[in-house]
Amino acid sequence: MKRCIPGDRRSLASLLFVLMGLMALLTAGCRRSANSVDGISIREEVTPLPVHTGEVTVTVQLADAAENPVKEASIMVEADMAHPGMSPVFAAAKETMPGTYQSKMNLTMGGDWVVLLHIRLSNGTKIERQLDVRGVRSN
Amino acid sequence: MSAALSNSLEQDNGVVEAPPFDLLKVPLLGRFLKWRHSRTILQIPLLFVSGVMVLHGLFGPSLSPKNLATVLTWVHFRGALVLILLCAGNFFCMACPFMLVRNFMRRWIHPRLTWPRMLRNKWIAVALFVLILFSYELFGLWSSPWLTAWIIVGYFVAVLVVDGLFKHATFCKFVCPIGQFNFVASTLSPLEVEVRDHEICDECHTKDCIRGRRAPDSNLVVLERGCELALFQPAKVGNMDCTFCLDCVHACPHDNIGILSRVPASELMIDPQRSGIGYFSRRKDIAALALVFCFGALMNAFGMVSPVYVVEEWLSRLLHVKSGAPVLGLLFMIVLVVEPAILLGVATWVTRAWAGVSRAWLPLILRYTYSLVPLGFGMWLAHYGFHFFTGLYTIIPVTQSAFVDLGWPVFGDPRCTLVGIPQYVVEPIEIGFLLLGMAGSLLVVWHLAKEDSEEHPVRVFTPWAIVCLLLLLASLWLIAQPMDMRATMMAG
Repeated sequence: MKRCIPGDRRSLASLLFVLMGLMALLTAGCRRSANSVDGISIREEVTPLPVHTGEVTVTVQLADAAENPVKEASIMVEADMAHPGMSPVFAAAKETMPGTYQSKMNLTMGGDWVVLLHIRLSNGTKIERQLDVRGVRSN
Repeated sequence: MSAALSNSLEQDNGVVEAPPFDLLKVPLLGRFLKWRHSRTILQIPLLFVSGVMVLHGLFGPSLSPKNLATVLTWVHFRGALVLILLCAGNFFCMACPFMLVRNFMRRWIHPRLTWPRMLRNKWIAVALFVLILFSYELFGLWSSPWLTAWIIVGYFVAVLVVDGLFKHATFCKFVCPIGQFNFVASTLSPLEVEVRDHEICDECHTKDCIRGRRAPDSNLVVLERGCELALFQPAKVGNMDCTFCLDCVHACPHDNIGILSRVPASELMIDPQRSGIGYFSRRKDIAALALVFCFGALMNAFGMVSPVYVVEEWLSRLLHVKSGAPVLGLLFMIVLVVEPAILLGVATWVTRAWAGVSRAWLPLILRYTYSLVPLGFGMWLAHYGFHFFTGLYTIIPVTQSAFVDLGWPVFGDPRCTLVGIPQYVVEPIEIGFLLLGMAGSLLVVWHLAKEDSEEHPVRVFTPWAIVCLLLLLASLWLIAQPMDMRATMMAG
């Protein structure tokens, strides 16, 4: 039966070290960033501040590269807790002024929330935007 | 142990107890478990799931509720773990995927070192257990798929390094913090790997259950492993340190080991010498593990409710620090060291002064520490059960979403509205778990009290029952608080 010799252990340790290093490099290269897409600038706001549990208003303003409002977009707002397994909240945003969209949603518990904006422009372009709402206070 | 208890019942009542339920005698299931490859069959799917979790954690969505690594680890795995421990036994250790990789490694690498004698205790595991609880709060591990994936990878590496260097199941017995959690919780499980008939063991000369079986022509060729955690079946008491690997079942030439039913927590009511462990009342390390298990349950739940931020902000002002680590460290010190020291110290003083129990301070504290385990387990059940039940179906949209991301939407579009059982249904279950734990703790305290003082058992019982009551009230208060889960310390 094959016995383990110190050289084998060194080889194993070296192999593991190299594998971990490779994975770290790979994952470092895969971190994501969120920016505006196709020249559309997005401004978003959650009010009132500081954010408490209960009803909040999410306002999204869309503008093109020439600062003209982007009309007739369809926006679905999704709010998730930072903790997995919690109930997400969904609401459709209505266009209240040209290029300005608002939705009301009920944040059900305190803590860190992440608001996702699923935006579809009138030309069919899809944009995803993530907004961190940290430290929502319980009432 | 159930045999010992039933014998005593026979003597007390003059009635013959029915033989305990034996899982290994259940048709099909029992046959499957007795098959020597059954553990591997259970481990393979969990290894596959672990691999998927690591990949999704590292390369999938960074948002925790959308990632399989965080959803499966912090919602489903933890919840299923405590529920299976409550309803059956330590079957998660049985199906542990880390051990599959380790066994595969040991086909080629045969460790020759033995774990140093000074480390043959639970202190490293206790420190790692506290470290995990601390990191969970400090870094908001639940909110980071990336960190969660690296913890899983780190676990595999740690298993390979420790068990690649040291013989036997060193990692399981002395290092693994999840394993220690399972060992402590499984003292409350209704099933135990146990000898069926002790008379057969008395006549056994080969002791294969501990020694294993080797090829007649070569001592190096292991045909069947004996217990790698040094639990000699005829002298084994309870589930502590038992991974349900069933090596002893496969090794026993007399088919004399089963998975037998027993009274949950009964092993906490007695203090015999246990194979591979010794006396509970002399093991400071295991008592410390039990304390961390109990008070860690409170701390872990405390980190998820609003008042923790008020306390943290107050402490940060008091200490003039803005970093989260020192404040959290102090909070951990208060909950895991100061609070138990005060509660157990006062209870011990009253027990000695009022009930006249002559045991020394430390042995008395160690002895009654184990009585808190059922209550601690009740809190873990309430907390993890809450996340498990309220987030039960979230695995469906997350899995659908993962397949959509892969460009292979075989399960359709993610049904993000699938969440779980409503909170108003789960809350009474949480309270039920706590009350069950309280009943278990009181029962253990009463048994120990009767043994310590035949004349004044109520006087021994009362101070410890008050400790249990205080912990129950703290637990009930915690689950009544509004949830407030922040991934950053002292945010907002």
